[in-house]
Amino acid sequence: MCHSTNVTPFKLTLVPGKSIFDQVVFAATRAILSGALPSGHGFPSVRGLAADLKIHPNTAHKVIQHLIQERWLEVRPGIGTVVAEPPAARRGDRQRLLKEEVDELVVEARRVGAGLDEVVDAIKARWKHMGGE
Amino acid sequence: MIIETDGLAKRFGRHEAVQNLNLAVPEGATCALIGANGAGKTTTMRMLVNLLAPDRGRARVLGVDSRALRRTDRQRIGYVSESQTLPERLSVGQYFHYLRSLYTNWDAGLEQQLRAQFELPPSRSLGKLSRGMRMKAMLIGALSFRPKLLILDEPLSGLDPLVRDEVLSGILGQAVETAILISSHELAELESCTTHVAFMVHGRLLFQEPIESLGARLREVTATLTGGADRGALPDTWLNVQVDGPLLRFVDTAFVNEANLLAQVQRRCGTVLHLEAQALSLRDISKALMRATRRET
Repeated sequence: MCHSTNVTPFKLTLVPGKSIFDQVVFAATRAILSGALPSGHGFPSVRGLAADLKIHPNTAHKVIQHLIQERWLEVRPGIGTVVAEPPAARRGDRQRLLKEEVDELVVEARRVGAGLDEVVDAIKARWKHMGGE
Repeated sequence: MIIETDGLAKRFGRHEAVQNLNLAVPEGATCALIGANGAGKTTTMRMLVNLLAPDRGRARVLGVDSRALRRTDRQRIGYVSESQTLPERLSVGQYFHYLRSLYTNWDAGLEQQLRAQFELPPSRSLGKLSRGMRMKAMLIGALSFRPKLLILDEPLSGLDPLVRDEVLSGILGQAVETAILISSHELAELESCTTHVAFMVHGRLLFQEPIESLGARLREVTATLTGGADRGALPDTWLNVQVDGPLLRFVDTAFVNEANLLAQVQRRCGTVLHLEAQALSLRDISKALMRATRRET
């Protein structure tokens, strides 16, 4: 019998002060956007995710439920949970990104004394790394 | 509550090992019991499984008084301790055969699965197992009857990083159906899988709370001042206060937000030129608390 389990193709480097749930969700969405987890590829089970990342299985369960709800993953009967086509942005997401999260970045950049060019270059590099044009 | 103690106390001679302990572990929790060596963690766990009788107070475990735990209750509680004695001359295979006969709820399939996962040599005698193998054998013995509660006293100590990982994965594999109380100094490993933290100091419980709320209220603070800090007037929620010229450093144990913190520092120390509040890992939190509560000798 050929039995394959899905390995978790991302790692979790804990950042203090952020919830484990948020950190795992972020790591998973980053893996999906960067192409490390292409659409149609199997996503680890609750047990697999918990064992690979050493997180509590209840947290792993919450993460997978959240990713399904946010349409990053879909359940295929008989196969398991697979990576979905990247979800369409919801109304408001774009506005929130362009205002609030960019605001945070600008404030943080000025706090550490990074120049505008430096920040733009860093964004471009990361954008490319994640497979954007 | 899966575990609930009420004024639990134990004394050895003149040494108060555990004092007035009120510990509560809710259903579904994985609770890390942490504290310096000698804080009373092992004594507490031994009282919970009735290996030791408390001098005062009582403990309810799975709703039953620890002094009245019966055989049927024991079949729902797994206990593993590094100082546990094993029938050293039995082989691994004989040991599990013996355990299987003790538990009416033994899951032979799970036992087989864990033995394969942990790669235990069936014919080797228990006395000749390495430290890591020995811990794995004890853990299989505690997991294979699918207990409702697992009490694990230092299951990761002295194990190499790979074995620690394997042992932790084995434990986490059961964590959905089992509440866990685990003592360990391997806090980097525990941080991501723990839901609650209970911290003991000199036999007493300093606090117990969900790990998120603990992480949210502790910050390592560095402030640059124009004047000096008046050390007498500092709040006792600030731990390990250090003053070095214009620099003030401490661990805030009641952090709410940066604005609130800034106002507090300004009120006590005057103008603040710069303020930084960094979140701490469980390991750093634990170190800060141990340093702050270390007894002067």
